[in-house]
Amino acid sequence: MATYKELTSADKKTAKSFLNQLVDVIQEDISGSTTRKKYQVFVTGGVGPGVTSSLFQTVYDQDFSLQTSNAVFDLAVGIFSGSGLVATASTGQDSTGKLLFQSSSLMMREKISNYKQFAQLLLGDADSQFTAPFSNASATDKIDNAMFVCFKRLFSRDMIKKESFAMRFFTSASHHDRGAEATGKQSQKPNLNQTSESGSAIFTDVGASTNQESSFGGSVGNIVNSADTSNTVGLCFYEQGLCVFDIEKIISGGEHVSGVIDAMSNTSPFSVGVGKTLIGSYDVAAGASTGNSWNPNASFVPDLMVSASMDNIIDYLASARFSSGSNTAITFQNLTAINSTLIFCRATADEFNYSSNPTYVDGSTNKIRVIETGQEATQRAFCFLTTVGLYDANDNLLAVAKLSRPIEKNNEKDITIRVRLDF
Amino acid sequence: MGFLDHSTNNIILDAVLTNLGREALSRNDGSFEIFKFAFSDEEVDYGHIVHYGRTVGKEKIEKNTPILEAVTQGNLAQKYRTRTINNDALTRLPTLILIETLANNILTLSRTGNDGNPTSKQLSVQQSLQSGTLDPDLTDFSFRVMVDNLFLGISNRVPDSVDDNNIATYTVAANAAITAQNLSTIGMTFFARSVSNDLFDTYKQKGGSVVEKVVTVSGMNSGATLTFRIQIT
Repeated sequence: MATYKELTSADKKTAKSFLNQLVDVIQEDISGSTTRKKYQVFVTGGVGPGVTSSLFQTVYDQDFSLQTSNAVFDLAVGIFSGSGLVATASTGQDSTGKLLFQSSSLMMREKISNYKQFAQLLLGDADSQFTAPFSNASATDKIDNAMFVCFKRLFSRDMIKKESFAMRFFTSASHHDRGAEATGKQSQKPNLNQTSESGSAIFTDVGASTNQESSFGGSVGNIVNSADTSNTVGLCFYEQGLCVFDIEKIISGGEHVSGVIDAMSNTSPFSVGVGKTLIGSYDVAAGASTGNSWNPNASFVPDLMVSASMDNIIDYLASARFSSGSNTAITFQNLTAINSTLIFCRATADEFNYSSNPTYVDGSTNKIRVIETGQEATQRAFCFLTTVGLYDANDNLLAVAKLSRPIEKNNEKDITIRVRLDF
Repeated sequence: MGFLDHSTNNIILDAVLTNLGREALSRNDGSFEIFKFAFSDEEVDYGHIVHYGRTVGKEKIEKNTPILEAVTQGNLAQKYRTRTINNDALTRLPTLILIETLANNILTLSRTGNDGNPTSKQLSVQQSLQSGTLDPDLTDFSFRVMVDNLFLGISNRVPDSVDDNNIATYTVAANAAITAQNLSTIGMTFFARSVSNDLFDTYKQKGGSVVEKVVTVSGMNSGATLTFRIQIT
């Protein structure tokens, strides 16, 4: 009598397969303040109450204070250390080589460090510069100001599937017109807190399968504007689950910016509050000729990138440029490699035809209940299988598999059940 | 734990690693090696065959027996394994019975001996066959006994193993005497451990003053199983 049957090497096979999952991130998850978590670890000293900011923010699929929420991706910005923007904004270096900046700029060293960190990870050299397109780039393709979208492993899994990425983004700011420029004044309407409604573009990695390029950080594809595929705006590093965008290209960096940002300030212009300042605005009372205290001609690049904290910049990109609604903002397919062990549990006609189930035997007569009374000479026992147990040599049950319906096993039937264990 | 979808004609297999399987995998020492398999039929009620006959009864079992998802507790996953017996013409199978008569199938033991109940009690379990001679392959020369190790033990025996749920497994050899029907018997003495009041109170029945545990005895060859309860006072 046996209840176990040993497996041979022919009964065990391994296989590999791939699973794709579609990931959708909707606009309001990116733009909403309750679904975007900040980690305010950066604190300034100096003038005024100081500025606190995150180095990156995390977008969740629901209110991040709920335990059921899942982090979807991190959003960060960075500036290339060798860019003209840094050269212009910097006031020099100290004796240790640390770059120095005016107090009107914020977090410049942190923005540079962010860029360097991604360059080291993805390009193999912290001083390297991203270019879009990745190869055969011209001088105008160099990315000085970068937005990094880093998908969490829960969603990117083993890698992002090539030619599956798409992002809806608004390339034009609200109230960016320079209608008042003729009079030397900029528009009075702030646009840092306005959701963009124009310039909607779809950025996609179409063509990435045709030209399969690779970098220090793994395979890489160009992200282009779907309306004009010659316009490359970023890069997708598939295995890293990470996208790099040229901010200047995707937000029309030369457009006018206006609004309130955090600053090392002990005054309160227009009563916006101490520790804040205006960008891209002028003092109406003082008149056009002198009203240039708040950089009335400011544009997103370089002014916002230099003067605003990382939180201010990310807040703007997330809340204004992804728009806010129930439409899809980002979508891609991920790819998961599944390694499987296939175990063939083979029962010949003579095996596993009796059961130890207590209903199998009549307790008072010891008769097997599946054999009808009076038919003992002609009928043979059978049983039904519902469960397969996989054991080690010491009778420890390592895995268990259930059939969705019972299968009859009798002495005229051999059965092979294929159990697949995925790892 | 829910039912598996059985609305399609395709038979779907729902496989999971047990807690022991995951533990073996995490040890990373090669101990996760699947060596053998067993089938079982926990959900099946063979009484359908008696009530409806073989043809309709089989259909009832196949179509009207929803199967539950797999559980990851190894000691609960396969209760009733199917058996391979060389003789395919068997019409009777042995069962296990307790020779001693227990009130309501419950043995009462005391952890202190101060309340009139014994602290230990010898019980005998016997293979039973109503008539005829048992196929020699089905004579149990040893039995597997599973008891709760926190409260109970078997005198003069050391458990083969104690799992994470404190279930101790003993292998107990049958008495040397085998009956003319090829039936065997085992005798063993169960004792109640002298546990603290705190532990006792934690596990005692709600509103009662006893801790109740289930003992399972199964024949190594016949696969027949007997369960009975022990109440500890």
